[in-house]
Amino acid sequence: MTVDLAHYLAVSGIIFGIGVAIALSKRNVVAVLMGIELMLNASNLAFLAFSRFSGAFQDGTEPLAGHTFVVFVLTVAAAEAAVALAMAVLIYRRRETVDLDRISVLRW
Amino acid sequence: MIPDEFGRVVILLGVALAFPALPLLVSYLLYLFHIRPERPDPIKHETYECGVIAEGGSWGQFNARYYLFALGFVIFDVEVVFLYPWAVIHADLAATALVKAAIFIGILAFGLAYAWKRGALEWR
Amino acid sequence: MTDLLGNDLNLQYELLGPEIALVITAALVLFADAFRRELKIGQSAIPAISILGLVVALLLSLLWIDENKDFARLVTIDNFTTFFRVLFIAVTVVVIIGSHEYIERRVSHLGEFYSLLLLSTVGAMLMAGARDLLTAYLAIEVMSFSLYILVSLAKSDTRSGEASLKYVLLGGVASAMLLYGLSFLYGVGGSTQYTEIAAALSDGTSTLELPLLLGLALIIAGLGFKASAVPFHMWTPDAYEGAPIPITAYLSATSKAATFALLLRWFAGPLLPAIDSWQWMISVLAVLTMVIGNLVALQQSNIKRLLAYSSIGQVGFMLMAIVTISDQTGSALLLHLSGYIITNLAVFMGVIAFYNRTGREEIVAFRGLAQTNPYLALVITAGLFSLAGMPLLAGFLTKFILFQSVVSGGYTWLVVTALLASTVSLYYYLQVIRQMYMYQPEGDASRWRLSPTGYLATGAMLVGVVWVGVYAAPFYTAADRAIAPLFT
Repeated sequence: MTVDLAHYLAVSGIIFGIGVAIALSKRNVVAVLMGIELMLNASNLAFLAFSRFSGAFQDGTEPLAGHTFVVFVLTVAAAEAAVALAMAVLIYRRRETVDLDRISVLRW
Repeated sequence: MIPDEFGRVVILLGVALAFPALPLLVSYLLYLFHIRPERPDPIKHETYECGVIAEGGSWGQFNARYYLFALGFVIFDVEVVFLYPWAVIHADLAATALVKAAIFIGILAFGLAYAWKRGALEWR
Repeated sequence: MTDLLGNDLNLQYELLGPEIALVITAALVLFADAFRRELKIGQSAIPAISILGLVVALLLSLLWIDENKDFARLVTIDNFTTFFRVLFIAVTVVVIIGSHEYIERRVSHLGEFYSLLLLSTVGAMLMAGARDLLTAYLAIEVMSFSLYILVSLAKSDTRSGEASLKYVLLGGVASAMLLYGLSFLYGVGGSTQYTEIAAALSDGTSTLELPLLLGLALIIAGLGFKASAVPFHMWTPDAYEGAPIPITAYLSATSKAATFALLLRWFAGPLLPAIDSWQWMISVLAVLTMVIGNLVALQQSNIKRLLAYSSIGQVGFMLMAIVTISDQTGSALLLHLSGYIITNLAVFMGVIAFYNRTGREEIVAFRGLAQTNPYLALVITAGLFSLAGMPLLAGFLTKFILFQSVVSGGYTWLVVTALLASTVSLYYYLQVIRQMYMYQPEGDASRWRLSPTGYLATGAMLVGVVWVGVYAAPFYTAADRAIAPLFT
C-alpha cells in the first residue's frame, strides 16, 4: 500500500472534525482550547501534505511555503493558548469557575 | 518478501504490541496452571513499586501560579522553532542574517525583561 | 537579494516604515509605563508618545502615494495599502484623543493598553497590504490577539473578562477554520502568493473542485466571524458590551475595515477566478446579516449592544459590494467604509463623553440630554441620522453610491432587501434620538461641558460627517485611486 495525498488529507479531516466537535461541545475552557489546538494541527498536517506532494516538490523547485506556514502556525497556537489561558485565570480568580455554562452575565 | 512503506510500520506495530502483552500472557498462563504462586501485597499494587510514593489523584489541581512560568517557557520554546532552521543554514547566509537573528532575539529579550520588571518571575 | 528559487526579493525596509515606527512606539510605550517611577513621567506622557508615533507613521506612509512596490513578495505597498494605513492611523489617533480620560479612569494597565492598541493597528495595516497568505494570516492574528486582550482591560467590570474569554474562544475556532480553508487554498493554488494562486485558479481547476469549495466555505466562515456577519456574529454584542468603550469604537472601525480590506484583496485577487463558487455564499451571508442584524437591534436597551447590532446590519450592506465585486463597487465600498467609520466614531466619541460624565450606558439614561448638553445631543443625533442614511450626512451619500453600484452590478434584489432593512434601522436610531429630545432629564438637570479633548474629538467627527455628506469629491477620488491597483 502506498500512502498518498488523499490518506494524509483524510487523517487531517478526521482530526479537524474531532477538534470542531470538542471545541463546540465541551463546557470547560481548557477542553475547548484543546479542541482549537487539534483544529490548528489538522491544518498543519494538510499544509505539510500539500507541500510534500506538490509537483514542484518532486522537481526540487518547491519554495516550501507549506512547511514555512507550519512553523508560524505553531507559534500562533502557542500565543493563542497563552492569551486564552490568561483570560481563564482572570475569570477563575473572580468567579472560581471555568465552566462556560456558568460564565453567563452577558446574554442577548 | 519485504513489505513496502506502511507494511513495515504494521510489523513494527505488531512487535510493539506483543512486547508488553507477551510477558503478561505468560505470567497469566503460569498462574492458570498453578506454577506461579499468587500472593497479593499492598506494596506490589503501588503505581511505582520503587521510588517516590504517589500522592493524590491524577485529576488534582495545580496552582495557577505555574501558568506564568509556563508562559515564560513558551517564549524560549518558540524562539527555538525559528532559530533552529536559521542555525542549520546560517553558514550559507550573508552577514545580515546574523543581524536579523539578533533583532529577533532582542525582541524576545525585551519581552522577558518586561516580564521581569513587572514581577512575573517572582513566586507570589 | 534572491530567494531559494532565484526570484528577486526587494528588501527595502523603508517600505515598512509605518509598521516599524508603530512597533517601536509600542515598545517605547511599554517601557515608559514600566519605568514610570524611575523616569519621573506622568500618566499623560503615554498617550502623548503614542500620538507622536502615530503621526510619524502617518508621514512615513504618505511617502508611498502612487507607488506600486512589494516588500520581499510578502507585502504590497500601493495606493490601496496607503489608503488603509492612513485610515487606520487616523482611527487610532481619534480614539486616543477622544477617550484618554476614560482610559485613565476605567482601564487597568495603561502601558499595555496603548501598546496593544498600536500593535493591533500594525496588524490591521498589514492585513490591507499582504500579498501572501502567510503574511495575511499572521496579520489577522496580530490584530485579533491584541484585541482579545484589549477587550479584557476594563477595570472592575466583570463583564469585561467574560466578553474577552468568549471572544478569544470563538475567535480561536474561527481562525482555525480560516486556516484549514487556507491550507486547501494552498493545495489547490500550489502557492501562498496571491498572484500565483490567481494564475493557478484561472488555468482551470475542474479536478480540484471539491477541495476548493470546501476551502472557500471555511475561509468565508472564518472571515465572516472577523467581520461579524450573521450567523458568525454571536461574539459581537458580548464583546462590544464587555469591552471598554474606546475599544468598542475601535472594534467597530478598524477591525471591521481591516477585514473588508482583506476581503477586497482576496476576492478581487486570488479568488476572483472562482467567483461562481463563492458569489452565492456571500450573497446569502449579506442578506442574513442585514436582516437579522437590524431586526435584533430593535429590542436592545444598552447603547453598546444597540450599536453592535447596528454595525452587524451595516456589514450586510458592505458585503453586497463583495458579491458584485468590480472596480466600481470596490471604490464605493471604500467610500462607504470611510463614511461609516467617521459616523460611527462620532457616535462613539459622544457616548464616551456621556459615559465620562454619567457612568451609564442604558438608552434610557440619555433622557433629556438635549437640555443638559445640547452640543453632545447634536453630535450623537447627527451620527445616528447618518447611520440611518439621512441626506446631507455622510451615511446617505456613501450608502447611495454603494447601493447604486450594486444595482449596476446586477443585484437589484439585494439592494431592495437592503433598503427595507435600512428602513427598519431608522426606527431604532430614532428611539435613541427621541430619548434625548422628547423627555425631561432625570435627576440632575444642570448643564455640563465636555473636556477640551472631548470637544476636539467630537467636533472633528461632526465636521467629518457633514463634510463627507455635502462634499465627498476628495474622498471619492481617494477611493478610486486606492481601488485601481486591485483591478489592473
